[in-house]
Amino acid sequence: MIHAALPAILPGFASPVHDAQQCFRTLLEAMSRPGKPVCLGVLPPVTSLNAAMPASCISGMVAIALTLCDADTQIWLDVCLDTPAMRQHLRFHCGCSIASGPETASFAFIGNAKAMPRFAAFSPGEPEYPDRSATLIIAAKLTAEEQGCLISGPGISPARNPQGLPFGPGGLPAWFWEEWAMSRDGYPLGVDVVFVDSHPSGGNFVRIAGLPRSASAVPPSRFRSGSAGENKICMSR
Amino acid sequence: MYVAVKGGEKAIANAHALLAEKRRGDLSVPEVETAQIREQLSLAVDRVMSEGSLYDRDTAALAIKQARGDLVEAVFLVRAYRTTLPRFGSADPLDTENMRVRRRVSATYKDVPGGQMLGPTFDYTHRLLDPALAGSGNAPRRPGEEAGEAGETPVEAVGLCPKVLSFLEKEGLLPEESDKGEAPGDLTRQPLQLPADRDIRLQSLARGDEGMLLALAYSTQRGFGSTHPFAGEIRMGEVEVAFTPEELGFPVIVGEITVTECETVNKFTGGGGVPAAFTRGYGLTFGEGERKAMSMALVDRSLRSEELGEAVKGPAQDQEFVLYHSDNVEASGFVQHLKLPHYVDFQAELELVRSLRRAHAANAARDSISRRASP
Amino acid sequence: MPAENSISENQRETPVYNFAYLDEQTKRMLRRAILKAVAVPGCQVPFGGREMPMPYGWGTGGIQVSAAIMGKNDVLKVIDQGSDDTTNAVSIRSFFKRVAGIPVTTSTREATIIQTRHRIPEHPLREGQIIVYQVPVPEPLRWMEPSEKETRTMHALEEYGVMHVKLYEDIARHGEIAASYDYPVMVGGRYVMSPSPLPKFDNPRMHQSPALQLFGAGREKRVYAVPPYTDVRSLDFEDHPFSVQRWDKPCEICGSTDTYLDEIIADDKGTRLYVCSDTDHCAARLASKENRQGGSDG
Repeated sequence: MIHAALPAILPGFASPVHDAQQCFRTLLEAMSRPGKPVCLGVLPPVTSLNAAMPASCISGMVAIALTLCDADTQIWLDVCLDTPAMRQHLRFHCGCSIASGPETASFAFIGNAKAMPRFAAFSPGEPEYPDRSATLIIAAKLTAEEQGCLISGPGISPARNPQGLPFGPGGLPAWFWEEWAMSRDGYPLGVDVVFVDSHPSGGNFVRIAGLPRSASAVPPSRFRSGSAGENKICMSR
Repeated sequence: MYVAVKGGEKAIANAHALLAEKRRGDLSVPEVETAQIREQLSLAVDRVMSEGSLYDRDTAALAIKQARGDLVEAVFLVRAYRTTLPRFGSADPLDTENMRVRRRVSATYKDVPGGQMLGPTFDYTHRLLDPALAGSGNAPRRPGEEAGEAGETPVEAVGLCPKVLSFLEKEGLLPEESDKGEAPGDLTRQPLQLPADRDIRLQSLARGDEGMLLALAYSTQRGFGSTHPFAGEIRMGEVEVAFTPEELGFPVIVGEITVTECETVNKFTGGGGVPAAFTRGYGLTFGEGERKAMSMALVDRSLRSEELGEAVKGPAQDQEFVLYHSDNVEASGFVQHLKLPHYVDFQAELELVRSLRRAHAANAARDSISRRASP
Repeated sequence: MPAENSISENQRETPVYNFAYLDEQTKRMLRRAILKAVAVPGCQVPFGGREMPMPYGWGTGGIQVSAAIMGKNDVLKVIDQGSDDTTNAVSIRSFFKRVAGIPVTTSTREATIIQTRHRIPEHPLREGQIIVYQVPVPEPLRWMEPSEKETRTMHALEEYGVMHVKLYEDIARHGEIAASYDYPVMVGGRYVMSPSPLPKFDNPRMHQSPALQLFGAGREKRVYAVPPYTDVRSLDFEDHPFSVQRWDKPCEICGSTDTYLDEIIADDKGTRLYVCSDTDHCAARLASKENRQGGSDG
């Protein structure tokens, strides 16, 4: 019955074992080096999954889902991403269940950051097991046209960035950085974020950047405007 | 020298070759076949299947052969193989009430519906070595043969019989265990987390080392956390394994396995507003594994002490102690890893001990000088 | 009855394993745990450890972590006690050569993944490299508190008093902290962490390292991580600052005076010799020394 309304299921990774490994290493690099855009170079086909968003961004998100999600994880899709085709695709390839709300999700995929729930809506983990927190995959512009903030912490060389690393993904809600700074009080509880570039990449790659909860951010309101355009260009692998 | 400057690879290859040679032993003696192990060393096979968490007699027999009869090593081989197998889902709970029973004894009643059935047990054998077994070609002896008569074919009674403990349940003296319908936890996929629920505890005990469980069970009998057990029922026989595939929605019988089940009845004097009653300890093993099943039941009951509001006094009542230390693959690996080179750390310790001794000697010398200096 | 007696044919053949041995579901589970470990540096993240074809205590945690991260483009180096040629290092290296088919090396510079037991290579690690530590006992508080439930709570509450008391008692009794290896560290100012049984000589190398450091404990089924450029401080007191081992003698082979040396008993009289524990570094140093001498001759 559903099948009649939906197009045939698209394939996942061309080479499931090796593509997932490459995608994971890119994610590992992104989480290890917060605020440093890295390039996801193996993308699954996603035409027809969601016409409202650039294919490269959707493709990056699906690649992350294929890499990390399975029957042991619950994922949540925001309104922008929650289409029958997307659900069918993720269920088929990952075997994951789709959470009805953000609070039980281990991975939350957010296509429209401006309308995203506040951090408190997601699981921050437990004091004994802070690892049981949600990971948010957020579509945002990584081309640094907005003034960002200065981030510091593990993964950011203080020798190279004594003031902190300028980081300003575009398209985030106004409260994002203030609330991020506040949620740091609860560390080691908190959510981790992976940004997927929402700007069409024009090639078979997409930029991503990590923001683990260990990263402190000085919001734009609290520092004098500096050069926020230092985000590095994607390095080809 | 086990840290050859450039020779590790060669040394390892040599060790493997020597091992293969020792495994085969004297070439003039015929090689043992895995089928012989499967049929004639069946209790070893059963133990390896239980602790290896894989019901496959041939694989267990192969592991025993490859391990030169070292059962803990064989368990390890089976575990390492098992972990690579695809997993289709959880079977439906075994219905041991519907076991085709080949052995069944109860120590709590003189007679029970279905009767007492000794089955193939060592229990009443006189432990006298049988020189006849040293030769070959001996068919098993039959009842009455010793008296010089022709003897009868041994009778193996097989039948269905009700669970002994169900009579206590019906009287309200023993709480019924009910299936909550939740998928059981699985230690082979999720790490142990404390406090562990009973499903996880039972899985851990089922995989646990027989010797360890035996010693723990014994310790409760000697007073380290006594739980006053009676062997309510021990039964061994065949049960069906059913699996309900998601897409079908009804159970499909996928096979039949032999299991040994032990249920103990333990006194509970009541407390916290609960009247006196009996409680249950539960043990289950693959194949014939009565010693293990009984030990498991005793330890299972001991581990319930906390939930039943009993004082936790003995090691067998301490979840963390029991669950973290009863796995012989983990224990054997970590104990034996001490033979890996540790010379870097030892060097660090050498320097430290020398430095502490120098400091001690200097202090002693200073003390004796100041003592002599004082009038 | 040969058919009935024998194990089925496909069981007889060596099973064909997935790339890097682990199945994809296991890798995903490990990868999720590793990412969380990176996000909370020093925090011990449980994972559903699998039985590996090597015994627990022999590097199963490191092997699982390496297997979960490695890809076709990686170059692997494995050391034990600093040496590429110790038997267990050889065994692990040949395991990955067999199940992943990736190139292996003894050179610290060439490697992208370095799996280690008990040492950090002498040659400084660089950005992009990943060092994977084999960890026997991941819980730094274990010797003071045997219960896992308790130590979990201590980490949750950042309650590290027992550790300070232990170190202070050492000073009171011995005049110094009597820990020469597995010397506890504070990571990112939040978690007390076991560096694995490294000699404390190596502790300073963990601090602000450009490489990603991953730790795998197979038997205890936990991973933890130190991202690049992260503060790793060895615990100490102001009046008893942390210090590392030193030797009076140079390496007998390469003449180095700034590396970790192993003591070797050279003869029946008990004569001691000292040589570098990092065999790759020692050989490279010797080669460059000989090259220089060769150059001056010619």
